[in-house]
Amino acid sequence: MTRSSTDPVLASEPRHPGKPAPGEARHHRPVVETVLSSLVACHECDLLHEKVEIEIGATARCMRCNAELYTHKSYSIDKALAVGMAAFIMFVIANCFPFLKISVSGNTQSMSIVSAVFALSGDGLWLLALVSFGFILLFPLIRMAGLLYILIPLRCNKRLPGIELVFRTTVYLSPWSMMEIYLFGAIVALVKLAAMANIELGYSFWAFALLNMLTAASLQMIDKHSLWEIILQARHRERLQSAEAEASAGAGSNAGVSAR
Amino acid sequence: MMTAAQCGLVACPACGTITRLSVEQFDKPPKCQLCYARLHSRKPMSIQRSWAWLTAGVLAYLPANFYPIMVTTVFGDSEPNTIIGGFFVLWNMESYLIAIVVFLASVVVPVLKFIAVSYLLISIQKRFKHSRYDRTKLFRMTEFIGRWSMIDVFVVAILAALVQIGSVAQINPGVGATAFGATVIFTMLSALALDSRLLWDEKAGAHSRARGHTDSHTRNRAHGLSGDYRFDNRSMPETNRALAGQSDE
Repeated sequence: MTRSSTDPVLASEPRHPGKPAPGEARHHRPVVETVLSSLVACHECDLLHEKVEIEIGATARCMRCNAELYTHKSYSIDKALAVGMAAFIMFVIANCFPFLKISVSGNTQSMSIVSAVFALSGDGLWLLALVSFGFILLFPLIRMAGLLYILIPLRCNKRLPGIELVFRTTVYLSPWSMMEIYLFGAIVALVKLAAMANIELGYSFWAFALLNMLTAASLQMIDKHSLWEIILQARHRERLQSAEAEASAGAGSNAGVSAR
Repeated sequence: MMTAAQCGLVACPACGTITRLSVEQFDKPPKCQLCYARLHSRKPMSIQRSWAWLTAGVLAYLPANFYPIMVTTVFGDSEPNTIIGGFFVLWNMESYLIAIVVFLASVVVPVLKFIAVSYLLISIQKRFKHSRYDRTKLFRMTEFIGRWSMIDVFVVAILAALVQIGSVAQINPGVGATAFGATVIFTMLSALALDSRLLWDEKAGAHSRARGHTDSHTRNRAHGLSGDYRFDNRSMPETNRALAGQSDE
């Protein structure tokens, strides 16, 4: 697995000079890991960059294709958690009340968000209904619940199993959660019907609109990279604590810290 | 300017962590050590899968236009609405903004997406070297805008759910809606399967890549050497010329 010293990655200086001495053979792996963690590859063109400190609110972009590499956000778990929980509550409200009401010459009819799915399946388009159910309700719900599943234990300094799976699921589901598109679809439908019928917006419509804003805000606050960073930081803290505990138990020396 | 692949590195698609791979591992990479996502230097079978989904999307777009996406019944009169018909109805109602939105989502975006993804795929296969940056921007746009076509399906679903007023008026979804939904999903999958990093790779094809990164090492070294020797040629003739000739081979 080792390569010659002309290797461009290993040849560069390790990021943290205070870390264990690079000379010793058994410290080889941690050094490599440190170097690797100071690199970032553009996800669109694969160009390798060295991570540099940037100001809060700034975004690092790829030199070659201008894709976003990483951002430095002043994220806090508390804020993200608050927005996430509010979104969750809005999701419940949006699904409990009528979404739109229509009245034509005395007849009224109301629909909830999920009844659009039933309207499709009722006319035999059950495949489309199933997919729409995923896009509008299931996938957004899984993403929201996943975010809470990751953030709440971190907030309480606990660790639940399967964080990696939940993280990957939330990342991979992101293009398939289409709540905002559904909202715009509702607006288009409103305009279509406004000329011929009386339309009323239900509580659920406002809750749904708010839900979309909260989701956008939480994505602004915490994207996949910062989420992963938070998880890593928590793990690092955990590792330090357990090492400290070990050291205070009398195992002696800080070998445990540097080896792992 | 080195890519991760040229350095024998691969970035995790989910968490971005960089992992070192040996030459053999490039063909069958392990999972990310941190988040256990399946690693790949380039998406496997990217071009083939992308073409396949794109073809499926184009095929599904034909019935989406021929069959009605919804059937409107007003006082007993049934009238099928096709995609383009829905646009004309809105246009005649003088809600131009919404008409344009519907037209963009249901006609312009899918057709442009077919063209854009085909162009990108052909440009990768033919190894175009020009305007890589613009093509990347085109890819980014395609990826971003594709899902918004789904708005048409949702409009139909909402109308069908809302307008069920007995004998007065009724709207039912049609088969065209399924076909159109399939078009949107297939083209989204096509864009997801397409690996934009291939736009920047000098060498196309899955297998040359694993060798590519060792190649590039030797190539770079050879480059450096021959450059040096060419510079030195005037002052130190024979031996260097011989060496330069060797390294050029």
